[in-house]
Amino acid sequence: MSLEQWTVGDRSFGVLVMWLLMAGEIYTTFAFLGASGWVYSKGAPILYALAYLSLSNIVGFFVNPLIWQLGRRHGLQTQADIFQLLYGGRALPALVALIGIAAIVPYLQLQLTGLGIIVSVASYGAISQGHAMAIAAILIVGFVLVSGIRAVAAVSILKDFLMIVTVVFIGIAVPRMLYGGIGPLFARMMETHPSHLVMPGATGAYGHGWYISMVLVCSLGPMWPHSFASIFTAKDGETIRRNMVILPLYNLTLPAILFVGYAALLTLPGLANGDLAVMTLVRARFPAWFVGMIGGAGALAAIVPASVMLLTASTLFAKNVVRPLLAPGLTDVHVARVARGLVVALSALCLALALGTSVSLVGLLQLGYGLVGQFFPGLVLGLCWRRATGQAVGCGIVAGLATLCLLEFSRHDPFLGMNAGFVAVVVNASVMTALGACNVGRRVSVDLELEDDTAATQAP
Amino acid sequence: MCLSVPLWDRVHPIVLGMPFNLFWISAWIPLTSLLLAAAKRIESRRPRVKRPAA
Repeated sequence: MSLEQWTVGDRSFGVLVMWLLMAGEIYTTFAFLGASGWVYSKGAPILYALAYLSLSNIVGFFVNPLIWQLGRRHGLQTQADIFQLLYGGRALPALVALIGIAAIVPYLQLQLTGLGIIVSVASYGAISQGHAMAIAAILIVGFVLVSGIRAVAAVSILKDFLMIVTVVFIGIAVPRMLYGGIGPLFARMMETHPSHLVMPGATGAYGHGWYISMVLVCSLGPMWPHSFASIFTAKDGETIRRNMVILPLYNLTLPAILFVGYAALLTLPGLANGDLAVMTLVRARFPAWFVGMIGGAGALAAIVPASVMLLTASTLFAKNVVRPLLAPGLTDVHVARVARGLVVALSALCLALALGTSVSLVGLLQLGYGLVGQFFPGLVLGLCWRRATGQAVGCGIVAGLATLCLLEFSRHDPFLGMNAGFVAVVVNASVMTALGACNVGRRVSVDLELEDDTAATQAP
Repeated sequence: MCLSVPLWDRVHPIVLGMPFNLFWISAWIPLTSLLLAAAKRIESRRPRVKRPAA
């Protein structure tokens, strides 16, 4: 299987498959467990997740078709390839690749952790978290190695179907079973936990300022490296646009899950780990076969995104770090082989991390968003602004990274009430515009020829 | 949805059984789809322009 087939499926996916694939990779264990876990322990601040998903869909609507066009026109396969195209050189793409991988690793780890929880609870403890994670890792490696993104798209169909059906069902059934409906559920919440329903909920720090900054930084979601991989698979620009219009509808599963989270808070207060709330509640109230089904949906919610992420990270490393920096003579065939080897290595790393550490699911994700947010100025502003140069973008990214690390390690997140990643992106964009305005560095002259491609698809 | 937070972050009025903030955010989900569908229609009516970006 060629590198092109493995990473972007020969650019042949239509609207339905694309919808399933993109939704499949966006709706991860975060949506399934983490969001309801937050509702359980923190309350209203989790609304940021619904808000940012809608906003990121809007950003994606404008940005993704452009990315697709560039991909199709120039045979791009990874996010770093775009930076290579726009700005030339090897250092900047390598940096972008490394940051992308650094963001993916915790996200991947999160998927494995979530999957461990889901399977161990759904199996009534018969399968331990560790075993579940190891088995899942092996499965993921298996079908990524064999079929690349096509296999992922196929599994995504099953996953999305299961997830939509089960989540909508429990979102409606649980409140009705326990409280006679959503209205009574929230009436109870108002009696017992009124502060949970508005921000800052049960936390001191997550108030309105934090919320706004979180929503803004996470709306840069289309900057995740693996979303680029999915975008490049589309067969034409129209597919992408149509997809971005209907993608938001998948988000409707989130309010449903939140209802369950609130119900769990009322019926099972005092759980140490909020992320366990939904699974524990389901196990307590539903027959075993249903628990298994939910467990399956949740497991797939981890496996599908994890596969795309793994594919993306391995390709990024092989194509944009190893080849340019270490072995410029590698052919695409060899790059594909290196990437496959990396699939195994990376998954082993993430498995080790998932087994060895225990961090809150949502916390990991927020860090990831801070990292990928750093791509936004360079990518989007760079597409629109002629003064953007490789050096300006590079310095912006470094400045943003430095800011992020500084704030995180000195435990200043949130900073002045704002999310650290957001602050870092602002710093990044400022540095980049300042340097660009002063004409630091030279812009590689690439004739991008961006145009509305709907004309091309309508041609007979 | 984002910057107007203080205006809608509250429990009352209760709509469809949900506290207002949850309802507001959830309503925006299908609204986003509708707005994007409209945007798409507007975009496809614009004349196609070839514009070099570099």
